[in-house]
Amino acid sequence: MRRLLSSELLRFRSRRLVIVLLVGALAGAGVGLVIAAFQSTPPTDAELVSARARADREVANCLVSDWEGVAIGGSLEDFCRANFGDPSQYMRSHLKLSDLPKVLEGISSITSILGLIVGASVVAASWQTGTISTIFTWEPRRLRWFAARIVVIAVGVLAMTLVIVAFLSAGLAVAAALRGSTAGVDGDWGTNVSSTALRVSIIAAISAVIGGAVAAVGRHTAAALGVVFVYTAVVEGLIRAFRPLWMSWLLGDNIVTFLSWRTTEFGSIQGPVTFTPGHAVLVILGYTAIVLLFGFTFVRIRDVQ
Amino acid sequence: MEAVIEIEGLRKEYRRLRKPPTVALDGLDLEVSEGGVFGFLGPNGAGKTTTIRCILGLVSASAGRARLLGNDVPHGLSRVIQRVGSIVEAPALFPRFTGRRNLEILARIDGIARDAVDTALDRVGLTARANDMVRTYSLGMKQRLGIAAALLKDPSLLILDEPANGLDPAGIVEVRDLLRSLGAEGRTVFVSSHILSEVQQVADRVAILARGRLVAAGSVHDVLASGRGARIAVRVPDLEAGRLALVDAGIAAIIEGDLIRASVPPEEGERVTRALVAQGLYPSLLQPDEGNLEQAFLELTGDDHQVGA
Repeated sequence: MRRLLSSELLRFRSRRLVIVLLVGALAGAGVGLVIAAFQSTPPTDAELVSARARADREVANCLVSDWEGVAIGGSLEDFCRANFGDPSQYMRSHLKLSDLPKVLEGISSITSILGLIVGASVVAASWQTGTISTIFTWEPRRLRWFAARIVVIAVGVLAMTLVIVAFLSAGLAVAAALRGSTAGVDGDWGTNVSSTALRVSIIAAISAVIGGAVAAVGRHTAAALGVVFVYTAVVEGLIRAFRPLWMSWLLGDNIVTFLSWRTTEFGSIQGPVTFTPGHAVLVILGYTAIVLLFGFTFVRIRDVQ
Repeated sequence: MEAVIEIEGLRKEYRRLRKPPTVALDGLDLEVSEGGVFGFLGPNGAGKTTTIRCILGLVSASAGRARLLGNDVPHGLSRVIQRVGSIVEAPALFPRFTGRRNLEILARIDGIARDAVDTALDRVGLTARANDMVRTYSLGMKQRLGIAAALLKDPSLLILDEPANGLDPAGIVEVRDLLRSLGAEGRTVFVSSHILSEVQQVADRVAILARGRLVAAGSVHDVLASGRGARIAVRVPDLEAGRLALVDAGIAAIIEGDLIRASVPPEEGERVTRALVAQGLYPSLLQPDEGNLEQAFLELTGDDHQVGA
């Protein structure tokens, strides 16, 4: 298995698409950071003092306000501090390093699509170029081969995403230090950034695995991407509209929950739908397992022409 | 001698929607013994490539059994695949990788050293273009790269499907020499082709396939004899008089070019001579008429098939 993984890894990193997508993502992140840095103006000391004072006032007002009938959740003080206690919302818009977890969550749709494309392409290319015949005359144990390829895709995309996240984080840190603010950056923030980065990378890797498994069934990159798009955008959209109570079983909503790692409740006309991180993990793994099962079955039984 | 390929009653049907299934192989029986070059012949659509795909585990047989180096296909394939080099139809390699990278990726699967990649490239004359992308290669170069990939494992059995496809005359000669030398090294080379003259020059044994069935197998000499029937070629000054003399003596004969072809076994040459001399016709040439593999092939498979030159 080690040799097979080594061969698949060499094939993965030799693929031009992988290199192009990685370089493109890094270049895009770089350009975005430069634009954001130029548009950001660091707050002056006076602005900071004024914003802090205003935040204190707003929190104080909040604590004495009449919140009867409003679902707050938790203590009133936590609610007021969370909603009114951040001084940065009373300053001119500028780059804040404390926003990094939100930025990482924001790029997860891009890294997931990147993972999906890489996964589908790496698997389907072998059928589209006919090299699958050559591969199976070297490794006839098809399930073993497919498992090796899926592992390499997952690990490869995980690594690619971590590189993108690291680049973006470092770039934002520099930009915020020069043209924004680094307020609010503490140990909790560091833990939050690390866990968010890991979750974003895991979702990208899972997207790649799903893309690869669907491509093993369809044997074509575009077909695989089309199927995933139609399911996530159309089928899940229709379910959300007509069967909102089923939302807790949809892939898209559970990915959002997994990324934010927060329990959320969605009120629908048919009743409330609750999303929890634990449930999201199970649903995502369930989808991945089902798609992989299809992929393995098709790889095993279908003739190679 | 041990059999390296054993096929018994192999059948392959391709199902089609709302149509009767296509039968690619219809109870094929074949045995290929160890060593030398074995020619696997048949017109296009005869089932040669399907047979190769079946014995390499790429397609599953509808019925029958195949064994490769003594192991059942597909379940025992992983035990012997390291000793089998193959090309199925056109060599399938990644077009955007270099020739060397394509071979390196394959070599890693079996833990083959990098030196072996260089040796294989050198053997097929691709060292100078090894670092160019495969998509820039000519068809002949891709074919040679495919052969290099097949040789990478230092296999005891080579299965090559139309290895001379796309090669120029010089390339065809190179491949022919390569096949000869591989056979002489003690390897078994199983080569499918519809270019009969090529196979005739390199193969020790042949099998002819038509419509998914085996129609002849054995040494080239045996197959030639089974195809044409035993005949004698005779040349006399007056061909028509000679033909009539043979027919009068009860020997079927036809005129082809400047020869009379008499349908009698070569050991009955004396009978032919007597019939001609009795009419005052003295042969200037009298020899066994084996014809060639192409003629045998046409006769055995039916002459409605197009065959290569």
